[in-house]
Amino acid sequence: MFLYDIVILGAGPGGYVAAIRAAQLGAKVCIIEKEYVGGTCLNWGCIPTKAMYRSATLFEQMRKAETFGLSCKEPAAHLDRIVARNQQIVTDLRQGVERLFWRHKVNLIFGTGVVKEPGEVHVVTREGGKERVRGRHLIIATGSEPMALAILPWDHERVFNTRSILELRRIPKNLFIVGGGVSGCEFALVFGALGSEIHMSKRSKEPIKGLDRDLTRELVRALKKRRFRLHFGDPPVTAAHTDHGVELTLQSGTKVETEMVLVTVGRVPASAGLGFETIGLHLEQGSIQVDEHCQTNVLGVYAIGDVTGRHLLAHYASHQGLVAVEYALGNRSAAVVEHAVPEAIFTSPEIATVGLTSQECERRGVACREGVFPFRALGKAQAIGEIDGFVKVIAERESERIIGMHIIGPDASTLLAECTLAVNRGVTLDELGRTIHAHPTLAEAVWEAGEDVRGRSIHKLDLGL
Amino acid sequence: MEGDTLRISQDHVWVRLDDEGGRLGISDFAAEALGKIIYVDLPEVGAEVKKGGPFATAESGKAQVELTSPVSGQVAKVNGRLAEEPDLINQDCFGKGWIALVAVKDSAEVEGLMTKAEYDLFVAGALEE
Repeated sequence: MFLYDIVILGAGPGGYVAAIRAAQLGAKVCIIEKEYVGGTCLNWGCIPTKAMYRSATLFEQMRKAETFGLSCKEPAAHLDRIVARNQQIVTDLRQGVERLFWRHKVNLIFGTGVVKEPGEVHVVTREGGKERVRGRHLIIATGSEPMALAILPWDHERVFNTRSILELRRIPKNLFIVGGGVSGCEFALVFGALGSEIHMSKRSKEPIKGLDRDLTRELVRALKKRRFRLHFGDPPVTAAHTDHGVELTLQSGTKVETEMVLVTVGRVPASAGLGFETIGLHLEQGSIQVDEHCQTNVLGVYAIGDVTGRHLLAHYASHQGLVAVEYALGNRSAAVVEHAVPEAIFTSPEIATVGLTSQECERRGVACREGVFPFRALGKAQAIGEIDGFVKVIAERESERIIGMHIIGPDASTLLAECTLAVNRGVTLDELGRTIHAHPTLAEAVWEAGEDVRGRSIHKLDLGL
Repeated sequence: MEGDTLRISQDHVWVRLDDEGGRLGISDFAAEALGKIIYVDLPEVGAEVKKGGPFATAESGKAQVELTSPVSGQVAKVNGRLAEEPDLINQDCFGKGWIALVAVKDSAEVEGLMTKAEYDLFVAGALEE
């Protein structure tokens, strides 16, 4: 039987990137995918939600047109057309990934793979056939699935998960989002902008775990500004279907009835029934444990992405994929970067964060200094009418190296790239300060926040209040 | 104004005690410095505020500032009109532009604050510095 150099289980953003890089490095590669290439990210995550986000924010801007001296008569949102656009984008991108496989001679098999031995996967193909795939190295990239909530089982008619809500064709009058978090906040923004009345609940008091406290405060303010009803620290304890929708009873006793409910309380690793225990993989609560090279405890078996239970981020999975492949193919210095993992959150305004937060610095006893610069003090922000939010820079006290950068504001996700480079390379405040930032751009806020750490921001206005 | 109970803190927040409790708002100096107020993040009714702690946020094109409460107590009412017309603060900061009504626990807290005349001198002094 043919022996591949690398066999990859799962063609999400971890697996497919690993496959292409392995092929570029000269390996013979086979990738097995049970559903669609691109995984959760491309099909039911990052991409379709960002397409919806675009529709939602554009709709919001249309309603603000008068502010810019424009008239826009009776803007209306049509969810069926928004969803059709999403699906077209997803289909095109999926074909793009398949074409990349073809171009790089990666063998793609559609089917469900079960690991039988460290170097052997048995596949039941989509057509019902059986195949044995053998390889020197196996990379597991099976991803994760939405976590269920016992009191609110999904029926996909009134109670949705983050996947099924993408197929909704009608904007609900009101929507209760159980579980804030990144997805909860993003869907709240989308449906809120499209006209739904939004309720959000979370077990904890903070909408997004691990966010810098200044960003949390600003985010909560932004959610309140949109008149979302926030029930943070007050999760639902019972649910009942009514004539008009679902009635939730919260811990405090408050009852809320909405037409639809979105359950987004987290994700669980997709690791059951795939033969992982058979080969003795070390799992903790379903997550495959890996080292900095993405090696598992079984020789020749690597794991990347959500199934490792680390950061549930597409780009982290891709990064792990690159590391696993390079390490497997002989680059023994390939290791995962852990100190500069960026994250972009598509609320409005956007959130972007990399490196240590203020709370983490305190917890770890890192002596640091902070600088903050509000977007509203920037000409560009005023010109485009997006003045909410700020950039926060955290630098190590002694070395003045930048160890954390946190943004809430316009185009934060785009501004994040410079910040990630700075944190990854340990850029000093002086080096950032001596880097020319083009005017008029929002990136000036990053420069100003760096300067503010040393009390010398140019445009920060102290009103004496 | 004779008998006016208006008192103002160094944080530019005023309080006026009446039968209902202590009404809070921002001073004329603060309103002018901020410029046109575009949003006020009001406290929740029932929330506890502490003297020296934040109770609301005011936002203008120039700045977003946390407002510091000069008194401690529970928020009994908020000025709901500010949700639609935040610039009531610019129009009438000591009147229609009030922000929150607090059930003041200890009215002695108000005694350490400035009268309007004292506050005006304070602001003038601060500007000269």
